[in-house]
Amino acid sequence: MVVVTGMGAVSALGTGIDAHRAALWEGRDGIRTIERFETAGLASHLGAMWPGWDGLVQTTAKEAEDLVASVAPFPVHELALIAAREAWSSAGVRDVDPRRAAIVFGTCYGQTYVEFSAVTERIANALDLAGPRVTVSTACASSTNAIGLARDLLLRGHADVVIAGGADALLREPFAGFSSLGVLSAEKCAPFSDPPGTTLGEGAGFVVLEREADASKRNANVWTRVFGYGLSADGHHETTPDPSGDGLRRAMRWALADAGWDARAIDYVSAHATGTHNNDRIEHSVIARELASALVSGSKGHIGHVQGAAGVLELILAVICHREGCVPPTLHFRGARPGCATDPIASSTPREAHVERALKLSAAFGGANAVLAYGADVATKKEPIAPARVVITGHGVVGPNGALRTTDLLALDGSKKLVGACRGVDLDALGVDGRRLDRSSRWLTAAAAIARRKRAPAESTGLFVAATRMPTESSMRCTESIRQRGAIGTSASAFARMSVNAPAGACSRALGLLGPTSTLSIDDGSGLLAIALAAEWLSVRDDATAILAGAVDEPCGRYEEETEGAACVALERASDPRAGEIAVASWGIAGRDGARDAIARAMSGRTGVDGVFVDGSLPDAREWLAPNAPLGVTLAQSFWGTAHATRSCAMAAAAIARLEAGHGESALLVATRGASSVAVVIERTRPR
Amino acid sequence: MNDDVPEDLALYLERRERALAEVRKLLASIIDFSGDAEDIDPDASLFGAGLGLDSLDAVEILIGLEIDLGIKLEGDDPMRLGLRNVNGVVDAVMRARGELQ
Repeated sequence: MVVVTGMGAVSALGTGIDAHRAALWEGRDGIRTIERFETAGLASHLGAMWPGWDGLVQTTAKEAEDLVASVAPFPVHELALIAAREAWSSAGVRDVDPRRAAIVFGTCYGQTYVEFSAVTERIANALDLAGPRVTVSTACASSTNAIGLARDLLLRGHADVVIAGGADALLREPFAGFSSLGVLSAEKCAPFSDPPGTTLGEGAGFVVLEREADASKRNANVWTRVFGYGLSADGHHETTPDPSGDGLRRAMRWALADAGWDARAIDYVSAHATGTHNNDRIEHSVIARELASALVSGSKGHIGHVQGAAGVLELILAVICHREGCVPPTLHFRGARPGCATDPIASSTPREAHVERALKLSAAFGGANAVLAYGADVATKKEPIAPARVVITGHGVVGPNGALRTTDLLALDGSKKLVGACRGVDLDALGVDGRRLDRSSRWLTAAAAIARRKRAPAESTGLFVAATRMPTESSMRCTESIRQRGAIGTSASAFARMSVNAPAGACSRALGLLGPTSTLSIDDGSGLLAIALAAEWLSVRDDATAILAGAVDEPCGRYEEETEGAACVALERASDPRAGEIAVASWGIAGRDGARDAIARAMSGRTGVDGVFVDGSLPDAREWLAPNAPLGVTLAQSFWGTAHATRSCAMAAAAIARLEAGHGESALLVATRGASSVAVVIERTRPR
Repeated sequence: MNDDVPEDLALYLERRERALAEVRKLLASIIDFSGDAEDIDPDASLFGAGLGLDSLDAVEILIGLEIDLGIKLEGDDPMRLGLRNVNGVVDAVMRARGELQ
């Protein structure tokens, strides 16, 4: 069991938990007229800005035309750090080994579209957290997903304390993009009510999570408990939720199953409730059908849609109310829109209600859904799922020369280095309609289609993607549309396709993958993290039969020897693996420069492996080789140019191909240069 | 232009060619068409098997018509606006300009 022992919040309502509590009981929202950038001609002039940045000018006129160059004087880590420091100090964690203190940070746009993992590292450095540092970017589900992943890191023993949350600033381009998509309201966001449309906001929220035993040992204040979570892909559309609501329903059911809860026992739901016509109607239909007796409300009338931080801030608002025996209201409700909740706690102030079991729902662009199960429940005893073996059933790699065959993978031995742009892949031959896919989406979808080989049913196959930045082509198209036509001409499709998780969404749609999905980064080595997290998911959960762990890189012009492409490894849950299959035996994650810690965890109980594959640098790599190890030590950068996400995943595919070809029985895969260090051991299963 | 063609028809055809060129240019920019914009078939359907556009691209078409061609269509559903194929967009452009007979 994992508990929340600290919380911190920064939003349009103010700075700090107390300010948020006060605003809730005053019935106040934080929505105002936007002054920091020009909104003439756009669908709304309202935003939910953090008051701390009032009076500052966001960009110069020239920079404002250039999406990538519009580096505002608003470093998003400033917002994040205020909330993170409050959460951390209120948790009062002392005497923790910094290497066992982790962070999982969710964001849509990072530091003005350019830095993602770097923001996470700044927060971690400021708080002296030297454990795993993971960035989640599943658009507006990012921070909900981050809290779930933080819980996993604690339960699986990868850390002893984790701070999790998210942050996003209100930037001009997403505002214009939302305007082009026709989802902004000219009035204050009124979830489930009229007029439809959302209000964008900014802010940051963090929670500190610990295992219950550790928290009670030090008599820590417990705000709430996290019981489980679910992730799913709609596989439907970039920006519109699946009209059937099946995507959100799957995430909800999987969260309930993870918590061991019955849907009828849910007391309260903090809805995503963006205020848009499609979201509210579809979300309400799912809630009404699945959780008939639950109270429902949405917080975007208070704080706007805080993008990557929406989930965690809405959770925090709800938990503040639960402590006082209440649930938060839905502001600005003037009667239900057709097909929407008729009483979403329509009030200006919190309403009394006892909440034992609650859900926080998030449904994001790219069709990524995340649902968190939290509350005070101490009665439920959930039977753990018997851990399963995880086998590797396929791999696909797309690089500068297009799709790599097995012989190409075996030839990745350092004698030749692949560098440069990808020249293309034949998607038609893979049965994929690639006409409306940008470069990142094409490469990822091709690698995933090659890896999948149609073994597990697509609808129960998940997709974990390593991506360290926004897709270059779509970002540039979005920038170009603003440059040519002004903010009112922002390309809706390019905007929707430039999210970090857009390639994952496109791949889910193209291949019909409806299982758990996430998009993650630790910068260098991200691909290996995706493999490790997918393997762990399959070994301890039964809501997916397979997960494709992929990675994609599109050159952005900021690095030497940039290498474009994607790689993907197909993993499958196998209760009884056949002898001779390649399995993921174990894995470990540690902080920056913590490769030895990660390897120690991955190698536990093992004396040596037949090969060590390193993305980064590991001077004493031979230490982990068995005597006469046939595969020796291979450095990924000897055969693959700069590709922060893809290289370690392509390295894994190269190692797997060697084991499949009988060149060895086991291999240790290590990524040493990212925000986290990752080590994974793969081996051939033996006959029983 | 053929001398046998009546003058008003010639004018109509000229305007239609101009509108088609503008629409092709707009569509080519939306779909990132690598070939010559003139290769876009006027009878090609916008969605599904034709150009393969999706609903986000439909939003782009409406924005492009408004900003690049100065034509504001009332409503936001391309199907209801008759924008099923390339010629449908050309019709809409000409109708808005009062050029459709």
